[in-house]
Amino acid sequence: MADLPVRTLPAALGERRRSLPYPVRRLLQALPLVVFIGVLNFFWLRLAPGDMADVMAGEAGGATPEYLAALRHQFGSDQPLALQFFAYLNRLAHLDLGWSFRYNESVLSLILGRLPATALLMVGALVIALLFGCLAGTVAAVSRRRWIDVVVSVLATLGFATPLFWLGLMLMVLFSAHLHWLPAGGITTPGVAATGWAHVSDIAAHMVLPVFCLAAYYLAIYARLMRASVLEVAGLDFVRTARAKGVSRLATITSHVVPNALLPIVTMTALQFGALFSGSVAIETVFSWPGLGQLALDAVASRDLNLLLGILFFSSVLVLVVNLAVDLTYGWFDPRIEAQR
Amino acid sequence: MSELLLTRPGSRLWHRMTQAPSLAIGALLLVAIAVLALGAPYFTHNDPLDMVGTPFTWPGTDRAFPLGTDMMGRDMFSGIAYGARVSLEIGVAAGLLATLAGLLIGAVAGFYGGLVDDVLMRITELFQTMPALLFTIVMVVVVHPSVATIVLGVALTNWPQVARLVRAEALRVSRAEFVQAAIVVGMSRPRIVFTHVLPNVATSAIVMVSILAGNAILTEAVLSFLGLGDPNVITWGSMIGSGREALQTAWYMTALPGCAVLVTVLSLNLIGNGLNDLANPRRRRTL
Repeated sequence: MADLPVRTLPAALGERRRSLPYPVRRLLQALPLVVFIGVLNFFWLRLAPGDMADVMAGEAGGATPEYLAALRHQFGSDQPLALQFFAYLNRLAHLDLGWSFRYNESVLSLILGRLPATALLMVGALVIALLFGCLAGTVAAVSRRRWIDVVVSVLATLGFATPLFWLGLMLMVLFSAHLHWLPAGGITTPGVAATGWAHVSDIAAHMVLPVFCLAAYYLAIYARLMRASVLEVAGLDFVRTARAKGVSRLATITSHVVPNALLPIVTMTALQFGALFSGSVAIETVFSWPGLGQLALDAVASRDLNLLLGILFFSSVLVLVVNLAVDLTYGWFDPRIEAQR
Repeated sequence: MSELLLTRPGSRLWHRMTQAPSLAIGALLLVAIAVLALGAPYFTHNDPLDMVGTPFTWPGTDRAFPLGTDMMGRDMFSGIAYGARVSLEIGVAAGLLATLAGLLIGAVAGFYGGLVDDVLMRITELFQTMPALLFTIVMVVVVHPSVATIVLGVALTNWPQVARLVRAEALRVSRAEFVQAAIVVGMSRPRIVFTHVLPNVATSAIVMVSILAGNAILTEAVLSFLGLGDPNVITWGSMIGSGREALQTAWYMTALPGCAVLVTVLSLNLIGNGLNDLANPRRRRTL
């Protein structure tokens, strides 16, 4: 999203947009996307067989036609389609994602309750992947020993091809079932009400395997991207200048090459955020991690489409917000871009 | 970019191929998997869904079942061979579908520009914003879990990458003199897209088919592992899912189909990287 080239707009429109500050312009661009996602969600809800009234009647173990009609009237599903559509968008605008009858709780509060666990998993994986991916990529690019480069490339190629959920299962066999080093799943040890540091270390031990599994794919992406980026930057004039004026090889790499090579990584992190969300769905299932992904699969199992679509909508908006935030901090990473705005 | 298409197939291509070892290795692996998939009925007489042996036979302990049996006494080798059919089918279909859609949409957006470009790129962003797996799960749940739905879902979530790549290429090509000349001569716009733009941007998209096929196979494995696959066929993902129940004692039931997925996706990625190196000789990478 951040790497979209500037489009050629009609002169008048471009003039008007240019007068607005950049963050406002970006926000205005993002709004239609949110509406689009809402439209798509409404479309899925209508396409699915049965409606809310059928689900409730099923829950109650059957209902009379009169009761069903009353329910439909109450939910407004006997209204014309256009009216229903606008009512739906209106509710979305008020962040009302509906009610989950399975959990007897509002969809939004269910999502917000599960969000911290997913956020912990995603942020942990992102930090690990960024740190070690950039390190591996840089070492592979600048190392004079060819075998290091080959090892990093082979590992990256394997990382791209490995099904993450399967990697999780295999690591579970090794580290939990056979070596007994790490817990097999969940976020805390059941039945133990630890507090303070004991609680933190308990969660940390439960985090190791899922975070590593989720990070594996992104490690591969960042290592490969960083390698290419470092190679590209290393050939630029200012690097030669730095070396010529007597800056040591190590100092040139750490203070001239790496900071400039990080820019594509920032773009990639924003672009891959949605994929990270997808990855966490499978990982959460494998490690019974009580996050959004598991909530989504519970929703599938209990045929709670409203909850499932709520999660899709919420996570899409979250991806949009993250992209927007990265886009706005871009100027800080590269002042040249700030000047173009 | 278009060097691959400009080169006549034959000696030069073969010469280049020997210079791109990842392409050769990937192609060999893929051919082996394809032979296993197509020849499944010749390699084994066991139906992958039938109980044919003693449950929990470890690989290598019984001559009749080289890869052992699962907890229901089903032949693991037969499952993997027949699973290869479904995986390759889904990979090829979804990869081709996503590439064709991305090629067409990207070329039109890049060539027409203006409002058409704006709208098409917004739609592209929409599909890149929604977490792909969640979207596919919603689709499978709403429509019906079948091979066709999974192919469609994977294609719908993967075309944007192709479209954005092709659009950038099409923008470049549209400014070329031969396209300007075609406009001056009075050729219709759709005809220019099909005869001038598409052939010149196709290479960058074709290179992506095998990578997208790999993505599709991974997605299908996740879906059927989660129990959202086509219930009428045996797939590697569903084998991993059922093997999970005996993970502690008989981990081979999970490990073997997972390795099959890994090797297949690896071969497709190697082919993709190799093709990429052939198409852009200046941006060559190792392995």
